[in-house]
Amino acid sequence: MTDQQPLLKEITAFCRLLKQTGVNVTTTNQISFCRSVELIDIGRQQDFYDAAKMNLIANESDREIFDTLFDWFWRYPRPDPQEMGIDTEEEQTMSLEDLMNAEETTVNLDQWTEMDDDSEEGEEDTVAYSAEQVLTQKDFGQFTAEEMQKAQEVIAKLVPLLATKLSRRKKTSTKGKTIDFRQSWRKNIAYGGEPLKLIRKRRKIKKNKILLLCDVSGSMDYYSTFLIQFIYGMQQALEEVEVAVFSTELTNITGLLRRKGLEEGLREVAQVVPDWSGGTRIGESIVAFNREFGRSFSAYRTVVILISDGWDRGEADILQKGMEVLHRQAYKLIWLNPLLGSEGYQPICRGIRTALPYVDYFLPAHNLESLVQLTKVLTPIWTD
Amino acid sequence: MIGSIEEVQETFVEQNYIADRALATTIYLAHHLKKPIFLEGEPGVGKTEVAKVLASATGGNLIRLQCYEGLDVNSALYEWNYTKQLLQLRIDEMRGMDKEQIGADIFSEDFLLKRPLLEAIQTDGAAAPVLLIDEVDRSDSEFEAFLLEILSDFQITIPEIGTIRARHIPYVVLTSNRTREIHEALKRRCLYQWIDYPSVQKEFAIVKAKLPDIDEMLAQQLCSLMRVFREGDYYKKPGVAETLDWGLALIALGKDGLDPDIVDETLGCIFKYQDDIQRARDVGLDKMVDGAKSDSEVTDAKKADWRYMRG
Repeated sequence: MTDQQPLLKEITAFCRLLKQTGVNVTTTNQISFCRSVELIDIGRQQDFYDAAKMNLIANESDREIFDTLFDWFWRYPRPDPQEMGIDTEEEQTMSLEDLMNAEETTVNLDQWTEMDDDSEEGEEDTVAYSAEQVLTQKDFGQFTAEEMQKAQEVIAKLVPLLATKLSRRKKTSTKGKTIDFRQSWRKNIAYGGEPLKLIRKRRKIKKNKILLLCDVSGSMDYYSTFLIQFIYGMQQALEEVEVAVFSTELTNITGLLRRKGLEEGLREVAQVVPDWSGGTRIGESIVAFNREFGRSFSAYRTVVILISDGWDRGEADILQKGMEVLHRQAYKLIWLNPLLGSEGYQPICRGIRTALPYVDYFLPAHNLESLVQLTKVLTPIWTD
Repeated sequence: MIGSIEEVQETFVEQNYIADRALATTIYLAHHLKKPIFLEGEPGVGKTEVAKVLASATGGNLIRLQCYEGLDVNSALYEWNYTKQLLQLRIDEMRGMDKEQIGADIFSEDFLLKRPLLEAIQTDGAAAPVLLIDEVDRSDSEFEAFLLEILSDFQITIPEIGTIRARHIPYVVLTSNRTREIHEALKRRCLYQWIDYPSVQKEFAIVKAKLPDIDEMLAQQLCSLMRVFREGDYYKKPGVAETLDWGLALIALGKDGLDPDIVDETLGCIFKYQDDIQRARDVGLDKMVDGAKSDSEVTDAKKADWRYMRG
């Protein structure tokens, strides 16, 4: 056993490294890996790699990080981490230096609520779309607790309206179509086993699955706070929310938010999302969205909420195809548009005109006031 | 059969399943560590098949639990046969049987409807059964939590009967199409293996193994064209299952080579969405078929690999 000690140490160090990069390796996984190592011929690198992979990661999405680290860690002599793009000191894997140097921008809630009057103007002279992917880093740490609270209250009211349906699971009830034998049997013991009283089952009311698709392109900068609040509120109120953000590319951030918890997760979102505040390609992003989430539509009734201002620099027919598929698969497709609140705004930009026929509800969402309105609009629709 | 990784691989080839070394390693380790296997991948890459082949290779029973939303303990584990109990109760009462005796009577195993999980734990037989928990992503989080409990202890407590322990720890294979993310807690208790679309050579080996009657040239072209399709931007990319279906269709049509017309006529074997079929036609079948044909000539030389695998 003594000659295995160094290996054990190395394995422990490797697992710690994985943990630092956000891969959730449990002690059980580590033990299981050690036992696996005893069973295989560790002279064969492929087997060692396979055994490590199957024990230590539980997501295909972690594989890239794993491969990079594995390649670096188990090489002799170990190359300079900088060369491999690994930063062992910080809790980051991929080189994010670009992000670190990028400009920091913050819009807090107060600014945001005041801003809606001149928002259209802002749209035009700053960022209708950006020609290149611009990498910027956002700091979300500057909300006061009060601001958080205010927005969340409104969103908490909104969420249940979006998120209920009848479950396939049943619960005991006096009404209902099917008989609950288990309960009937139990209750009728009081009458000497004579089935006098029939207990029934009915379907439970269950939460819908919600897919949030958020535009984080440059033109949406003013509303980024709103986006964050909205995602936050949704996640607080619901178990199953999938969140994806896009500007030129689509990034699924559900796992990240779940793994890291919201606060830390959001901070990291700005780093992980390759093009936060970059240009917009709604069409391509929706197609990518359909591809990634496509098949989960069939298993659940899903409400898709698209938050975007509709400024688009992609191809119109791609957007149209994407919206068509999305519309067909979603239970309800809601487009929340921050621009819709501005006075005199007409949905004339090409993106919106193309997409509009496929949207179930096209609603404003430019400040807290409009969210309150939104709850009022949705109430009659969802409680029929 | 599970003495070494090579042995697993050979046994699987004998059963006409071409397993790469990573998968064979997973199975080998799952056997020795007594851990469940969690297979994830696109539909139609042969995840379910792993369990079936494992069962026939080990000689154990295959017990399958197909998951769906709303799957509950009563249909996964056990349920009392209430109607039968009620009838028995009446008969026993008429006979004037003692009340306690009646109770013991109707809550015995005879009145238990065994669902897959209980069955997997109770199986007699000489070999350990293979429990296939298929498409676990279709179930909901309540069921996942319940699975966690079963998979860690392999014992079930029925209040009226007592605790039932597994006689053989079953091989457990969970599959997921990733329509949603499965909770990490469950995945972390398993050996995780992602199954990707096979390489052209591997797919060729699979086609040859599953469809021994197929013309070698045709098989080669089939696999090359499949790769072209998978590289394209389709809503539902064809899996290995589609390749085999298509191969079967072409054999039935008596074909020994591909041409654009026959591909066009049989596109329904490959794509299951009208949009995808249309897209394939738009891209140009002639071009793709020609490409696949010239590709297959290049890969011809690599067929030696496959012969080697078959021994």
